[in-house]
Amino acid sequence: MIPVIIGVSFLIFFIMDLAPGDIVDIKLAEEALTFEEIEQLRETYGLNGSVFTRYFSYMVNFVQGDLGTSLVSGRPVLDSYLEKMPATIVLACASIFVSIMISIPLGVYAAMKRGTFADNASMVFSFLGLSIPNFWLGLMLIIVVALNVPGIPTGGFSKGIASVILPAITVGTGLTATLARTTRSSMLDVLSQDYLRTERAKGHKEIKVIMKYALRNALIPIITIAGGQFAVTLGGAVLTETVFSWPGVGRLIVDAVNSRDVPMAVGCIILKSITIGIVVLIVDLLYAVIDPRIKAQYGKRKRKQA
Amino acid sequence: MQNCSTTNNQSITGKQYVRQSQMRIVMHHLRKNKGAMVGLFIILAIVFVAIFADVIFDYDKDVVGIDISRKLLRPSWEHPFGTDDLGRDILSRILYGSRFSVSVGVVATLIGLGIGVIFGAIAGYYCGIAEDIIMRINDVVSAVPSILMGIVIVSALGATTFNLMLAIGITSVPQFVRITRASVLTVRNQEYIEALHATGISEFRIIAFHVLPNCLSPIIVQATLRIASAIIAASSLSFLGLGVPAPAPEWGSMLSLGRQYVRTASYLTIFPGLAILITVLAFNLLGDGLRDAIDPKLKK
Repeated sequence: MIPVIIGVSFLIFFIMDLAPGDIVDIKLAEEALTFEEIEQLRETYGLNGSVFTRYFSYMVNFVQGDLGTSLVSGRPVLDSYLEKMPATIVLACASIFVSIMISIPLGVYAAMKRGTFADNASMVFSFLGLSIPNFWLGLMLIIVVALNVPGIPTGGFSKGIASVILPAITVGTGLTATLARTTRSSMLDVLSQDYLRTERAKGHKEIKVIMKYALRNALIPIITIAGGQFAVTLGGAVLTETVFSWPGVGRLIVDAVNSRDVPMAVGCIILKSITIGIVVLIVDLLYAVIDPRIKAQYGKRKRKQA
Repeated sequence: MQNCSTTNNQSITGKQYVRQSQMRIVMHHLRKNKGAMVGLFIILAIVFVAIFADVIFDYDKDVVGIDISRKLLRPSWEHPFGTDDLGRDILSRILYGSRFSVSVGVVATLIGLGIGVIFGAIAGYYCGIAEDIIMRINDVVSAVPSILMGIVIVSALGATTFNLMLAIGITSVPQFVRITRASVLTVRNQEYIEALHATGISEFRIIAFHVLPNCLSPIIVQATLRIASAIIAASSLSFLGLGVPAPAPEWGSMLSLGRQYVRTASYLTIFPGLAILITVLAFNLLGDGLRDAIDPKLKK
């Protein structure tokens, strides 16, 4: 994970460096500065030297927990990021909830009724979800719901649960498509196995067979996809946050990039990659909880090494 | 490509019977897939409109021409989708916009495909250090969410149509690298490659003419599906103001304009979005159908 973070930080640092013009040029446009003042400003913002030396000193500070300060607001990058984090966490949890609530029943049902009209209809639904531009869905929800139903705001995070509903549906339905398809194909693999027939022969109700015995064995791919999706939304749903004026990390990054706030943009993107990496790692660990076989395998390997 | 290899076989063996080429088999499966055919039909229609948009509309007058006297008109016979705040006809802008969306989607995918296939082939064919380096770089690039990568690249290079294509192309490189490498790995150890080595032709020729053609099908499927997501990515970036520059009728930037009038003129938002939805859906349908047709085993 650490090499990836180093790579990502360098990549972002390097690309942002390609941009013509920096903060000093912007200041220069606003007020007339002497040559010495320009040089001094460049020095204080750390803009002198090659991209490699600047990157190196940036990373030395980064390791010590100093991500620099925003060129626009003058506040430490880490503080701004952590301040925006709660809103993004709320949105990520709510949208993954929406996604799971829709897609797992849909996928399981489609797999059970394989080849029927219901199966096709649910897959068409998930196909639509895959093809709808997310931000447009958000705008449509604003037009149809927020402007007609009192109490549901068109944006912001000031009205508690009511303000989460629309953004969560927007992000959630975008995730539904992939998750429902994964659930369906993973369930199809499991449903044809013999042990389910045994369970049925024991006289268990069909619903119990499906939900308890089949679904649990089909969970690994579902958790993988859902975990990845959760990780990405936790990094900030850029477009949905823009559409709903959501005070989250995604918008922070977009604003930073647009205003050429390099320390802010680089810092946020690195923090975002770290967040994603950690969540994916946790998901990997979850496998052991879901599937005792993986746990046993891992335990054995460990014993061998020792 | 598949066609070629079959004709070669025929000339070598001199047999007269018509062998079913793989292309034919794929087309046969594809034709039976209703969804894919609908997708293909829609795509052809969109391409047709994109090509003849010039003939149907007067670009300067209808598409970018400003006429305040007819601003924000509701949909009517004269302007089926209404007009925007500068009096530009939404229908003509949407139809003209298909040029940008489709060309950005296709060119971006081709850029990603070109770079991705080259590096994927190198990684898959020459294992060892080259593979390690390429795959590590790949991990890094794919660790940045693609929308962010797009934002960063376009804002760094400047918001022009070509930079938009480049940015989206680069974000799709990792997928192509991965998929090309995976299929090259399955081919490289086959006996005919060994035989080619024995004939002494150059490695480049082996990779370009004998390895890659046999890896094409998953790459083609991936490319078709990538066009769909590239179109969404293009409109997303334009929506954020980082795409095709202002007066040009790009669907995403039309949406971002519509957003300001969401309360009063919702038709500004509804129609461009529908255009994106239909186009993306068409490419997804075709890609999905192609996947089933090329590898019927996958179809369950």
